[in-house]
Amino acid sequence: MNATDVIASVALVAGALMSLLAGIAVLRFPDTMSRIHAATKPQVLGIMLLMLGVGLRLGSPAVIGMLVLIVVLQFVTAPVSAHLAVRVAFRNAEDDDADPSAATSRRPSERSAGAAADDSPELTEQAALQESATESAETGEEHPR
Amino acid sequence: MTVTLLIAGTLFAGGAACAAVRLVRGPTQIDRAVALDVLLAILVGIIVLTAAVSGSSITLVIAVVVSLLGFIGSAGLAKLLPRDRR
Repeated sequence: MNATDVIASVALVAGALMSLLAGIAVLRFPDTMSRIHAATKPQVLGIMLLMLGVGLRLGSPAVIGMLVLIVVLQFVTAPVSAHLAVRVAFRNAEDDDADPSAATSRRPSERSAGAAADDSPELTEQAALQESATESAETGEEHPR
Repeated sequence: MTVTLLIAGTLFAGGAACAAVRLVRGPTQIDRAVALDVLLAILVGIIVLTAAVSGSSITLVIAVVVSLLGFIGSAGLAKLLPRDRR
């Protein structure tokens, strides 16, 4: 085991550690958007470290070309998939704000016990007002849809 | 190199297990798409690790194809689910 093998081994273990961190973050973070954020950043860095390790181990130009190609493809595809996923997560968060009873995220700032106790009488009042308003509108005339 | 393979393989397995738990548990479908994305990245990492340890570079072509086409799964799910509730 010469020096390049040692550096390659360190780079490989560091890349694998990045993947473990991304997995733990996807498991433990409270919200979809934080999970997406924490899953894409270590993923690309881990891929780069792994390619560094493999490039130091197998030094032929064809291998280096394929490794550079993998890194470039990861740079191109990871932001695209993250952007599309965050768009869906943002719309889910908007739906959560409009209808908190069917919420799927467990952000502590929004789902704390104090906020829920304060919000519930106002929500039931608003719901009762809306129900009476729609009843009177339906009995009177048709909705202009 | 065997020690490197053992340590890196254990770290990959831990990350894959965490992503698999999120894949099963995740309250929305987009959480499952993100977990699949993480699993695909770990797959690329494992292919590259075996190429480094064994010294044969023929399996790196699989890594190229997986990283090129792997994002289509999560991107397609994100396009087909504009409003998913569980």
